[in-house]
Amino acid sequence: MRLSEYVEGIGTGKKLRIRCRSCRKFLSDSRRHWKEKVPHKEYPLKRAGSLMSASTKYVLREFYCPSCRILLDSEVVEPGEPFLLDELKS
Amino acid sequence: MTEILKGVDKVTFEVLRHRLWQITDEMAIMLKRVSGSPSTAQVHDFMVALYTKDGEILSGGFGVPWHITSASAACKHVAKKFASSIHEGDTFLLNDPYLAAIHQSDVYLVTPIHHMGKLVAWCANFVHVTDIGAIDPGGFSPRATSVFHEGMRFKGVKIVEAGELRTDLFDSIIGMSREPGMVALDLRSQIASNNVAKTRVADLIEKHGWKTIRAVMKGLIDFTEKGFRARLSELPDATWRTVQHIDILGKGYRIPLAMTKKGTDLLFDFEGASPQSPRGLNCTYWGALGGVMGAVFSLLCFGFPWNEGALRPVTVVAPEGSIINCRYPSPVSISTVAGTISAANGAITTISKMLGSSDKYSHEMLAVGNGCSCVIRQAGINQEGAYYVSGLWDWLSGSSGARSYADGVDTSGGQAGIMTMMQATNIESTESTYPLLYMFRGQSADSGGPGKFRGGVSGECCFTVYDAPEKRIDLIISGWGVEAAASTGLSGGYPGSSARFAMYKASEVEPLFKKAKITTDLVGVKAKVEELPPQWAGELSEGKYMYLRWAGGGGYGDPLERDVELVRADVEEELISKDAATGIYGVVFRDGIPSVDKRATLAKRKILRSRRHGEKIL
Amino acid sequence: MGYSIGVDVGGTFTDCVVISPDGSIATGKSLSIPDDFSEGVINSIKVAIESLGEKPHKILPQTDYFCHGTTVAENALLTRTGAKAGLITTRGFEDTILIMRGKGRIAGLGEEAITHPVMTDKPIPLIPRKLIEGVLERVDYKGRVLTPISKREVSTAIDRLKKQKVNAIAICLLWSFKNSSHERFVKETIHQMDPSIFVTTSSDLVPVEGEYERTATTAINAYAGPVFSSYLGALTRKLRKNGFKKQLLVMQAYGGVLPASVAVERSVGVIESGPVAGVIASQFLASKLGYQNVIAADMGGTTFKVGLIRSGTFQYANEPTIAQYSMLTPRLDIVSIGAGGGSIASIEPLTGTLRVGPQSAGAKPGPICYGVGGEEPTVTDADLLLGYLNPDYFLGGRMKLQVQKTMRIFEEKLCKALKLDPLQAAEAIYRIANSQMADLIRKVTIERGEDPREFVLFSYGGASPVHSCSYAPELQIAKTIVPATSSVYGAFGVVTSDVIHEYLLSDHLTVPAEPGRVSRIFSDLEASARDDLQADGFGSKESTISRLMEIRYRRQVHQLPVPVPQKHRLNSRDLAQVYADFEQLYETTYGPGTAFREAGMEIVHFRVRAVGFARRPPFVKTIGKANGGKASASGRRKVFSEKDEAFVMTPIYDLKGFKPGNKLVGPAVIETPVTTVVVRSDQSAEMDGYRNIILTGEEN
Repeated sequence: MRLSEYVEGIGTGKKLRIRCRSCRKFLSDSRRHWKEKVPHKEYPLKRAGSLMSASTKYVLREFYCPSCRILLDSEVVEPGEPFLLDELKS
Repeated sequence: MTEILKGVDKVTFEVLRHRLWQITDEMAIMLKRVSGSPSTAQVHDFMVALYTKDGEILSGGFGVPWHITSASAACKHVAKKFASSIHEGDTFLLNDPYLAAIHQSDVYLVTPIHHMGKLVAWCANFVHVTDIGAIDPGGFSPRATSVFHEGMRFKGVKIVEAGELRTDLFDSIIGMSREPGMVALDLRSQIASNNVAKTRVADLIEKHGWKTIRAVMKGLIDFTEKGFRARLSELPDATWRTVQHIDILGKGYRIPLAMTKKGTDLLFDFEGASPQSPRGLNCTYWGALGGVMGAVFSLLCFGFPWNEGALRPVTVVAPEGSIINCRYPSPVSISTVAGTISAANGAITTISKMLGSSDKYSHEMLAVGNGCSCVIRQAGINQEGAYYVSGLWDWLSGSSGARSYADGVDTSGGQAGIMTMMQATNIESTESTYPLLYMFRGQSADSGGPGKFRGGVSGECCFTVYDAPEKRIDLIISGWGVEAAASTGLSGGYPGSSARFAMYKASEVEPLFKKAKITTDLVGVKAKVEELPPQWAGELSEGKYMYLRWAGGGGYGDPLERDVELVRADVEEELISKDAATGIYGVVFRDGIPSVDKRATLAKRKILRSRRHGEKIL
Repeated sequence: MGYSIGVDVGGTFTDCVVISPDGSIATGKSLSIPDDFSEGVINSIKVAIESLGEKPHKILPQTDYFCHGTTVAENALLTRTGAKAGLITTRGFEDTILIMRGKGRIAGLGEEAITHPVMTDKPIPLIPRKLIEGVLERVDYKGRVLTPISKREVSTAIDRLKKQKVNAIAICLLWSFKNSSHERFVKETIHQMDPSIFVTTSSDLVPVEGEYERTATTAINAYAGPVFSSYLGALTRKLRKNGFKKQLLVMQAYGGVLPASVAVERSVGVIESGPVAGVIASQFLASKLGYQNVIAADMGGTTFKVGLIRSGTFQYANEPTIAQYSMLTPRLDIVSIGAGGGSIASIEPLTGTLRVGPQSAGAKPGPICYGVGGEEPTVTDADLLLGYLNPDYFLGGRMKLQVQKTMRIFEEKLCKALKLDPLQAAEAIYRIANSQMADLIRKVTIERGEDPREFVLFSYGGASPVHSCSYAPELQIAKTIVPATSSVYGAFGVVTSDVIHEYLLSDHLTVPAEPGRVSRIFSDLEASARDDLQADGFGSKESTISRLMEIRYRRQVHQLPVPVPQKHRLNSRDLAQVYADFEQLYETTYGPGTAFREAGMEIVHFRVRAVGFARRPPFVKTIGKANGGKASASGRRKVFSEKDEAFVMTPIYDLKGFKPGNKLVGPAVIETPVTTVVVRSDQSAEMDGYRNIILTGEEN
């Protein structure tokens, strides 16, 4: 099932596995959230464009597919702030 | 399904559904006609709605949607408070944000509708009155530190009693405003608007009978609830999260939102929101509820009448004493465009994430647009020598967030990208009414959040005083989103640009204007620039140029997935810069007219992708 | 006096009315030809003239008055097949037409769009950003030049546009309506550099405050201009070949006609002029019949349109839009909703309730009963099942309507869900469509501060008189008129329309204004008006000139036009009266206590209207012998009666058998090849001396 543009779930409950919709690479299983398994990086907001604030109070956090390197998700957060984790209820 | 229409002929139901929308439409027309003020007639800063006798939403009409629920609270409060002393021909005025209204400037007029001497329904509206007698002119008060600085506050008074305007009260109210004449017009338009609704609903009952109308009212609400729940049942059970940041006065406020859908219920939980602010960015619970419901109506209730049925599956939890549910007597005058918009932004994002988990509904997703306010109020002596208070609405040219199948709409009007009915005024009408002169107003390239589908671009403008007898006016700014990025993206899409307020002081060079050449952009202008905080009250005087850029729309999806041809077209249409095209989208051009170097683009995108690996670079 | 010819080019048909010198009327209809609309015009003229037993090359040389309305410009706009147009504007404000004040996303759209914002978009730009050039120049709100325009700047901008091969250029600079010198300079420079480019300036076209709307109007004019101009050229050549010698006249959306030589510069003015012709025809008829207040209701295949005539004059739209662009050219106030004959009835899946419109089956695939592919129940299908339409006499019998198929599809798509039989479902559709029409009329009248009970309803357009018998009583409208010429009503409207020139000058003057200045402004405007009327061949007896000032309270947005006395030298007492009239008009229009007097008044526009009277046909009234005589029915069939809520045997009348003065009492159905008039059992109908059918309610 589709979870977002680039992430989908296969199976349900404990058997749920998350994979990349772009390359079908499995990202995680039900024990850990996929965001905690894939590479992520925090950038200054300016990465999103020259008209972005130069403030260092906030960052643009990006999550990538470890295989095809597509941008799975991004967040505007304070540096080091916990990930914004969307969770399916089984 | 038929049980929701028990006792109602289906044809009559359809006839009346249409008719109720028409009644709110007429209410809006009446507001615009009678008031004739730019804020109401041109900018559309108002709301009209009908309520059941218990104050439940019956028909939310044209206008700012966050007020539909608040005016419901107003009806409920008046119904309870005045109970047996509510009579035919009465109209109540209420603007206490702790009871119902979102901030004092948005004054509610609430009128009972009777049939055969019995209360059967309510109608209500608000307009943003010109001036509410607060510490700063215009109603948004950055200097206020308590609700007592924010102007007159009514917990419900009979402004019209048994059909007679209470002139003693009316005169006292307008007397507390810096703009008594304009406020008198505002109030008169509100009374006229409710009178229309009252007459029309009474006619309807007369024609179809109270029993039928009552059944239709119930049927309409059930219809929306059923439809909304049916839609929810098609979506997975899950929790979706986002966070908004309001950044002012050197402080950041977090407004996290976790939205949980279970079965056919939706819970919006703002747990973890920052403590309330000493300034009026806070909203009361009504602001949080309204912000959420604005998004619920716009994104989930299309095709259904906007009424109480949309509210039934929804619960909004906001921690007391937080910026999203402040304690009395915290200031709240900026709440409509701060706490409330951030609640709406959060709800837009979590709802869109939910829609994005369904193949059937993913095309209904919307990233946040025009995510933070850039309210500017002005006051002073105009070119005719008279004192005035008014607003500047350029930022309501807006920007919308991207969709899952298309770019966001550029400069698309309204707040949060969903309030498409709000709009900016013409520069010529501003310059002929107020002592101002614009250097430029245009779309702002690179303001749309990059993505597979880009956020809509916002705009920017710059103006100075002109023909002002005192060579100065007061400016009051109540915005945010300068340090953070309020218009968040979806599915990896980047946020739309931050807002920017700046004062260019040309005193050190030739006044920009006097040199036969007037500046039409600020590139290469040798002036002293002062970046203004987004909450600011000061003066605009000769030799100073106020610059404003409002926030762009959030993007959708991976920018490196964006169709190369769309990137090329964006460069050609000056919606993105060549630098952004290459640096963010990985599209490389040959020299001259934007013609894409396909091979170099492939290579560039490959390099950009290869740099995507886990590592903290800050 | 010679012949008068009126032609109305519609999307599907081109209609023609030929009025002979003796006042007799011949009509013709032919298919419109979108590839070459002028061909369709010539065809329709042939049909009409041949019905007189004549040939076009015989009649056209004797034709004094040839007037036509056309969709060619709006067709170019809606299909985006107009010119490659550029825009020259003030630097720093290039994006004005793209920003659209942030309102272009929903401007002119209805409830459905407003409550589903994600799915709304701005229109595709008529002029892309790369064809918009900003030039350095600036004029202030009083018309003072702050930054002069430079030849070099302008030439460079034009060069850039020429390189991109534009064939039209719109010019709109800030405050040009206060000082047009910069716009004129740009225009002259273009003419010098390339006289083949179609140029239009905002200060010529719409010298009015509001840069977004002014730019949009000017841009549409440039965009549609070249197409419209070549169409007019082709048509003129074809008419000349057939011997027509006079000036070709073109219908304008503000309700008058203009000579082709003037109209060619103002293509924006002809856009959506089609429905206007019906309102003009109604105004003309109303004046003959002595009615002051008329609701003109036109029900076509996809929409239901309503225009108002108050005190004998038509009304102008407040904030008109074309394809979501806001316009400044005056346009008749005509409001429409998607409730036409082709409007589709469907079941709302959740409640199981019935919805009608706004989706439409249009002409193709059309209603089910046309048998040309339509598979969705429509309003026309319901009208058929209710017995209102005669399956064997549609378009005079040229199209057989398919009752069985209609019943079958109603059964499948509606009946199960509604638990109704097909006839009951048809009745429900009829009721819902009628209530939507009533709602629109209520909204249109009330929005303008009017009471529908004080109006007469003119009901025209194929399906309209089937429904007006039901919604008129709901609105307590006492009298409905179905015009005799309703099948070619547009063409009839066009030929009865006056030549109207509008002149406007924007100059904000604070009240009280200096009378000398006001007098001079009007004298100048009237000098142009007199020249133009003379050029059109109107003497002072065949024309009038009138003056208006538009005034507003400062800081309020509504401005209202107030008549100004026709004196060469106005004095301060004259003007004081005008201001008093304005104050009174403001209160009657917007209600007592709505004026913000403290801010003072200002004059914003000076308007002069020059009207050359149409050489109208000697409209002959023929009173039948049997004054008050009963009409005789041609047959009977079962027709649904709203009053009885049942099908009842109902007499059917053929309009041909009707004579002026004939009367009948409902229930009845009156048939013509193109229109069907339904008379309810609580109504009676009478034919007047002009062969119009007049429906009235039961006397109490």
